[in-house]
Amino acid sequence: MKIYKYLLFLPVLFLLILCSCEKDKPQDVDRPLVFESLLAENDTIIPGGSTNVTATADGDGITYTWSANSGDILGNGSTVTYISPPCIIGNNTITCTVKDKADNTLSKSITITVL
Amino acid sequence: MLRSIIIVFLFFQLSADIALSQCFGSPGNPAAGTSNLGTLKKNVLRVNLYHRYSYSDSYFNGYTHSDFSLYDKAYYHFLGNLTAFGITDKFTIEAETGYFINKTIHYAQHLAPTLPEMIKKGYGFNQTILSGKFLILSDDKFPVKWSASTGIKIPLRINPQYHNNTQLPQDVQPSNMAWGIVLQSYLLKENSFRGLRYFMINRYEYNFRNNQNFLWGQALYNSFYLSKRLHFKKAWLTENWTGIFQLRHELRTHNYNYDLISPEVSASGSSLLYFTPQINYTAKEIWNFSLMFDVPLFQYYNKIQIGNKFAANVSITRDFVIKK
Repeated sequence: MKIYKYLLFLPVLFLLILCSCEKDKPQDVDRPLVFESLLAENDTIIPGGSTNVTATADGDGITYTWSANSGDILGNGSTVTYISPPCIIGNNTITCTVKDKADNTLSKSITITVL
Repeated sequence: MLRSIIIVFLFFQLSADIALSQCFGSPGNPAAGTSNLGTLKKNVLRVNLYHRYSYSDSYFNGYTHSDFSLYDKAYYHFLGNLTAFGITDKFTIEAETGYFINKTIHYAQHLAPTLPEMIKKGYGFNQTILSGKFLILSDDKFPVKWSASTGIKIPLRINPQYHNNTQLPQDVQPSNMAWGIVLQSYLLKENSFRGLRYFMINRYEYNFRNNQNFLWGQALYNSFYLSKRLHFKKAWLTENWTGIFQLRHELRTHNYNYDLISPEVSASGSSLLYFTPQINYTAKEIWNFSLMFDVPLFQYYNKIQIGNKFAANVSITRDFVIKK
């Protein structure tokens, strides 16, 4: 029966861990966030091919977050390399989200055609 | 007799679960590496921990090896846990959970001039499966036992993992982020005269579409096991060793990416046959140690996918009797 007593403490421990996670507070910014462009070196590539994709944005303390609905993204920052899946022909979407110190976010997507 | 049978812990690692493929042929993530053969006795708590290592370094196109090379190699270290408790002699509840210590791909060296990084790694919890298992048939005269379970697959993360603000490739994501259903059947037959036992485990998995608009294929696993007590001349070695040979077929259907104009992922789905030798050592009827290797006998992949080369499991199991 002792084991049950210890199990009762688990939810309490879980709640304590949850409460201890505090998010960073947003800071003030001097410049408004502007997401100017999202461009690929090549917007048409072969299956298994790669291309660089560059995001251009202006603002204070910008971070770039990248995702794709298919394929791999390598690198980080304002320019990344996209590799298409070797067996999927069609349009793949790459999305970049920029965020400034005040937690303002803007997103843009670009379509890479795999032929 | 049945007491000793129950302690036999079978590896039922669904190796194709962790196949990797740049073509999104990767069918998901492992649920568990082991399987309780049947139901437990009332108030028995069984805890199993295991570690699995799997390695892949060559691509297949259908039956044959492919020259394609995007990854030089792919591998993972996986920790799994299966906890089961006998509510009654005929009904057992089980929870399967797994954690990737790492899930790693190395991009091919010939791509080095064009890529900003050559290695991608993911880690973390994958999913939990909560199941209820029923003893349907038990006949000590024949002797045969048949039990079946139904379970729900709960993803332990529902969003993709990022590293340095870049989404990790699907092949190294620790979870497939999908809810699902798991149905299993366990059949045991014993031949007392020869000291042989035959087992059959069938498992069907259905995944629901995840919030990435991705639907992992359905999976059907059929495993046949032959086990025999091993006898050694050394007295201290006798009675505690069991050798098990497993033949396992794994069938997976296509995945679907509903973000694409043509959702069916052509390079997904496979038909695989594995030979899996396993050795078990049981101590004091409550501890069980196991070691096994997965050797692919036959592999067929739709289009180009990276195949499994080998896998190894090591496992420890302990039974507890919870007295009321």
